[in-house]
Amino acid sequence: MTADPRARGALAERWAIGLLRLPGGTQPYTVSLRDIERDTAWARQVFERLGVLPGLPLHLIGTGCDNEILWPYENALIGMRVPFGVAEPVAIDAPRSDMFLRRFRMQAVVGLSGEIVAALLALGRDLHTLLGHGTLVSLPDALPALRGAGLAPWTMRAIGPIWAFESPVGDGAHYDQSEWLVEEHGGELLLTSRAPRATPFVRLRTGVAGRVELRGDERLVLGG
Amino acid sequence: MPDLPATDQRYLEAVETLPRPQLLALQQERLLRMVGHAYEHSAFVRHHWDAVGLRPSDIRSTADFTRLAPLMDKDQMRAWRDRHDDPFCGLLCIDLADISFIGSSSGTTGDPTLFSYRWGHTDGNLPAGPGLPADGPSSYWGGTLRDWWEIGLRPGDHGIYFGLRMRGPMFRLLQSLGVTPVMLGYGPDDLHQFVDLSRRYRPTVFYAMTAWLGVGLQEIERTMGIDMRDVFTSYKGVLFAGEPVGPKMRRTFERWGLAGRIFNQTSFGDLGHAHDCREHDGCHAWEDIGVAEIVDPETGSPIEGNGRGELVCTSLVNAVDPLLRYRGGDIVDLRRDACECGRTHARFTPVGRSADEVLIGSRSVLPMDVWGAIEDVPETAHGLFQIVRPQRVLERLKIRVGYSGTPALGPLRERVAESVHAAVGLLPEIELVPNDVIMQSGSRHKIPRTVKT
Repeated sequence: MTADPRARGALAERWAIGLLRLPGGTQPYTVSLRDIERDTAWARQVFERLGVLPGLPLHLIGTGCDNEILWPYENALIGMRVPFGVAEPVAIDAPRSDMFLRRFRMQAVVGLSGEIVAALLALGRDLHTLLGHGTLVSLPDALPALRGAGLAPWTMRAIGPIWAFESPVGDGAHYDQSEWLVEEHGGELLLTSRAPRATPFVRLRTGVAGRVELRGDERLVLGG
Repeated sequence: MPDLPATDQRYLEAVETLPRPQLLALQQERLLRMVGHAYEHSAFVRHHWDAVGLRPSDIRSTADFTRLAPLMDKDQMRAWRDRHDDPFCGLLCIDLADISFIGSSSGTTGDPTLFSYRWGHTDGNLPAGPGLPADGPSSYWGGTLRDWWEIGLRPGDHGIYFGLRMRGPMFRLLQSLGVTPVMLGYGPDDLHQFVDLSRRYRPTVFYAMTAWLGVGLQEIERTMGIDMRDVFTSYKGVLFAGEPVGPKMRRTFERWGLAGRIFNQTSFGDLGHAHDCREHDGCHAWEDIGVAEIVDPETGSPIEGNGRGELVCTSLVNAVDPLLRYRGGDIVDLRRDACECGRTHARFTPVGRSADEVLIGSRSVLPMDVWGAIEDVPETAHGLFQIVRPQRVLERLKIRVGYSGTPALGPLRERVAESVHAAVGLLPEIELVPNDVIMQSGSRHKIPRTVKT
């Protein structure tokens, strides 16, 4: 009854069209099924590095308009047999995250935003009680409040259409180097695709402040 | 998995036009199987059936079921959840480890309740997504696929997807029909991108239109002189979800060339979605996916045949967290005659929600009754309003109404009150607030149309 995306050439090449959100505005870009499969493989590595285990619930916060970025992470969780509950990273949806965090003992919370954390505090929640038992991965704007509550989150940095992840010790953020090259120019991170992605980027100005350090074979992104 | 039908075929699946006796036989077969499954695995169902001394073996037909099985509602589910510290309200019939995705309700009436899906594969890119098991009948989203095929989505198309995530990755449904989703959101630039992308890709569907987005498009038309007829020229369907389109907003979209191409997506009693077909004569309740009944909203007594009542639905194919005789509070007009489109399943037209009704004396007022009157006043034309409903029976109708611009509030209050008076015969108390205040009171897909204070 349904079409297999793999069997339909047009859909495999044009799996989705997303909006790249850059400081100067937005621009549409296409992702292919190949891109999604490669990004799913990377997302799985991320979750394995976070110590995510099958069978235990996880809360994944992300925005629906970023589905082409988010879906590989969801797909990785499906593949790892990790049940996950979702919410949007905006204050208006904070009651949903609040519900998930009160009613489940989440093994990890990924994508915590400053808006959500502020809204949880406004609801009178104790961040340590709510979040202290699992692995946390937050956007940079949530870090001060989380650290202030004695928590030690990972950091998730958006660099154009990709996410890079830095451990709580702050030793630099890892990204998928098989697909992307991140460079720094004048304190701004530039993104280049290294693989045949549906929409290739060459030194895309991301508007993200930062720098890149080479450690061994790996390029690590550090905050600006 | 079988391929899609030829693009000129109107129906996605043969079951859509199954002669009614065969459809009801299929429904009964699935119902009897579901009753046993739910009683065995759902603590909630077992508790409530035991409380009235009912066993699955007592149910030998659909008629037995609708006569004997207890009704359930969200208050009972929440009570179970709180009493047992069970986020799934006692409904989960499988192990937590076997769930893929935990979705949740809008939460407009309290803590959101959960909808859980089992994917059926370890690769979410395979077409059997939530509710679309490769080895069984279509469930939660299967009906949505049929409806979207009916609207006219075909492989190779593009579809605008302004989807929230709480119900799951519904863009996968577009892809299941071979349609490329164009992912947009609520950023300040996204509606402008929508205009450009509509001209570039000529999409065939917009999912999901809301009052909020409609207001934004009107602003773009007004301030930039954009020809919205051209923007929407390729669209076979603009789907309103979360809440229906208001009368004036509908007229705006019709002015943009979309007459006959505006579709409502509503809840099929929380079993899935229901949409109107191209005949626009009610939303199809897929009766191989669920049992649809109507009951008296006050007494809960079944109403036979066609008529108006509270929609009560039973899952037939959801093995994960099935609802049995669930009353979701939607008041509908239900019909079981065949639709002009050729489909044999029941249809219903949402009238309102029982939780939204207020009684002023003996006069019943639902949000839809005042919607058009509020839209008719230019400063409140966006139709952003909430009936203040501390309880069902009130001495006076009070409505909080959003306005745009910087109007003189005293005269505006009088004009809105007069417009509502003309529509419903009751002179309301009007509280005016800026549009943003109303918008911030709910999700971007759904404004609570009644509030307690």
